[in-house]
Amino acid sequence: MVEALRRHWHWLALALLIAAPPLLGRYATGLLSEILITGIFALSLDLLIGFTGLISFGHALFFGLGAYSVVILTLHTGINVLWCIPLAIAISAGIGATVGALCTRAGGVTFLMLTMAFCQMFYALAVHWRSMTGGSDGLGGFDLPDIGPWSLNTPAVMYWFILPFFVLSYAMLTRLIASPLGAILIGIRQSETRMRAIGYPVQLYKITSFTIAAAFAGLSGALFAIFAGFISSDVLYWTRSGEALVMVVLGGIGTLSGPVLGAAIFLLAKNLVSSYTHHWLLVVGACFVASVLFRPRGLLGRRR
Amino acid sequence: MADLPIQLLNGLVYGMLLFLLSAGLSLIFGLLRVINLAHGSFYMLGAFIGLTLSQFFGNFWMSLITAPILVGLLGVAFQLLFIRRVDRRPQLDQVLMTFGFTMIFFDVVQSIWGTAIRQLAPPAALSGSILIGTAPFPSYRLFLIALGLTLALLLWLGLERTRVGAMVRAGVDHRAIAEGLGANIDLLFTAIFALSVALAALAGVAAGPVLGLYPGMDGEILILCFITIVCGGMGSLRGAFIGSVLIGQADNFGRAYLPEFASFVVFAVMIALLLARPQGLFGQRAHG
Amino acid sequence: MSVLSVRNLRKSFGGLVVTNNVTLDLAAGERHALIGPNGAGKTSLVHQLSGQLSPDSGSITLAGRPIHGLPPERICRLGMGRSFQRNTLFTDLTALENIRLAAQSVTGPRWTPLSVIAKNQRLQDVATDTLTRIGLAHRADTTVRALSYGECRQLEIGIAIACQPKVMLLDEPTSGVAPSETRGITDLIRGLPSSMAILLVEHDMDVVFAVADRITVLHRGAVLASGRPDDIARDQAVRDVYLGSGSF
Repeated sequence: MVEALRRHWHWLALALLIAAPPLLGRYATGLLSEILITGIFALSLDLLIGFTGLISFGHALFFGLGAYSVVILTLHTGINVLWCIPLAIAISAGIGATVGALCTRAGGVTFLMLTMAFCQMFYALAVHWRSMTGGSDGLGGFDLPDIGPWSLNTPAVMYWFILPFFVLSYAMLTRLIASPLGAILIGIRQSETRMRAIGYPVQLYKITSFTIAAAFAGLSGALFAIFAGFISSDVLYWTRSGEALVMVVLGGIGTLSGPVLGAAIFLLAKNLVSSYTHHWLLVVGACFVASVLFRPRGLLGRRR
Repeated sequence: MADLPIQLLNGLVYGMLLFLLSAGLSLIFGLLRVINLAHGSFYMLGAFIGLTLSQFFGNFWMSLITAPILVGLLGVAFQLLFIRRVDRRPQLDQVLMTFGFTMIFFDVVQSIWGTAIRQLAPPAALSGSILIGTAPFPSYRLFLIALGLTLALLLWLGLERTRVGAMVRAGVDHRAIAEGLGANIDLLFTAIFALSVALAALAGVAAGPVLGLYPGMDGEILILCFITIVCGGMGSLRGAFIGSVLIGQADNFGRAYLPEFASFVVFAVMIALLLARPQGLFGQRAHG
Repeated sequence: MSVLSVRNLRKSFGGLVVTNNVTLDLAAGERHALIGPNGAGKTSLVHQLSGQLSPDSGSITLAGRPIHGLPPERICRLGMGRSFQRNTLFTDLTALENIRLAAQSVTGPRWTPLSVIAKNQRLQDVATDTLTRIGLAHRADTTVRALSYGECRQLEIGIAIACQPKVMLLDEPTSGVAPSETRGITDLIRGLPSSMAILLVEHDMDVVFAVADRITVLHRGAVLASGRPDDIARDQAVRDVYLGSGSF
């Protein structure tokens, strides 16, 4: 019985997720929606750091690109915001490939710094290009279309709209990790030197991984913009990339359920702590330092 | 552009401030192989502590000297208590731990000094200006240039002409060799880390009258610092100097002539340089 | 026609010359040992052959194609395989997965993101085959971390074999291995396909004499002597260089 539970826990979790809204009520459903969206974002980052070994400190860039793409496209062209999602993914992937090609020319710390710099570059763009992005005041005010007879303004409908994207992302990334391409990415994290020595053009695969991660991050950003009805330059600030790293590591890098758990814990903690104190940054920072020092593998992480 | 000499000097001012920050960070990475994201936080702490000290002493010079010392001591504690525990661990751990500290420091600074933008007054002796050609240029900024150049020279002399410097250089190239030389590596690392933190704090106080004190100053300067090091090359003092001058000019040029897209000049420089030379101007190319 | 040709290869780091005008030939199927005291420049030479280092001048030709200065992945694809002096394995993967990555590099599939690689029977078979040849079939599902040092050295060679190279560079395959396991590795090397040329860097003279058709002695980066094992053993200059090491 326990063995069956262990092997099929995904189905149980899926069932619970589908059934959640009526059980949780409006506020909690909204929170769970946010967790699912952030979960996709964290998953995409784990592909980079936990599986390919690329420590990016600029992943918020693609989240922001996805969000802004969806909002700007729908406000300027009037296209149904939902149809903007594939476009947002494409834009994130395209810029991901470009930025990835530039950043992967270097390794290690330089790569980290470069990703941070690129993210900040787009942050500056978002802040200054007020006519397009609304600057730090942000953009909003687009209509949420109905899906058939249901209105996306209802938390439960929004949740059930987001859920399939989450499930699909999780499934696709699980399959990617188990695939031949995934095996190569994992090999790169294990030993770049050996991968080169056995004939793999490592940089090309790094760019590929970066692009795929950017695409999924773009999806999460697009969903977020639709969910929040609003986007501002804050999402591109460098500390957001750091928070994403926190979620992945806290939950357990190199697993797929880990980042999702990390996203959940982070968001719940943020909600909880900030209702008690203004010093939530201090609390989160301290908890984080403690977890790095004493439990670096994260909650679900396997041996390093 | 009639004010070109003025703009070049302004660029040099930013360049020297950047150098104070980048030199330390680059050396720490070259020597300890530690990446410290809290470097910008020490800059910010230096600035705010300098602000309070200058109010307490009623004297800018006193705070310019004591703030770096205080923050330097904090840096020693930080290195001994925390950095030492992760400096042999994978880089991700160092990144994450120091990131956690940026959150802590940010919160502490905001709690103590609030979120309003603060100003640090320059010393009375330097609050005037000097004529460069026909244009007035603030004497304080000239002082900053002199400060930066002096410290650059002192650092260079220290690295190239002293025994301690030789050990640092050996350690940058080959840690195992430096250890084998019998040098007290731990003491050396702590000292270098403290120096780097003190320089960052010094930059914070010195920059106060020019750049102001505001939330987010830690992140902004960190990013610029990173860009500088990427361009100049990791672990190289020369690279930090040239990189700082370059980025300082680019940043100032952007601010002066393209205010809306100021930072783009800097990023464009970085991207162009990287396309040509991924290891930076004076960095070493890693082998596969 | 030699399968690997090195002509006048030079490399220095600052003032230190590590490779001093080295000329070397390897015939197809030949077993060629490269020996020399510590610091003779053997590993630097191997790094230049496999692309981890770029020579300053001179040429390296593999099956007629110039390969000096090319990156390691290109050189591998052109037919050069190597094992490393220090274990460079995929530490969190199993022995089978280690070999499979190398096999995958040769035959693919590489870019498919949707099939499950563990279900690819052909790759599994190829990998298991190679594992059996190196005597580690019983450890197929063991993670590298759990393998003994000797088994790791075997795996080092196995990964290189799985690339099906024309020329195999073995960099001190028995380094650090217990005497009881050295025999196993020697047999492994002797069992390699006769079509594969081998350049063997070694300190252990028993292994060298058991395997080598020809020996080249390096000293301070330059070729001191080159020839058949018997001739090298009798060469006075070689004996002088090794005097005191007790290897002869």
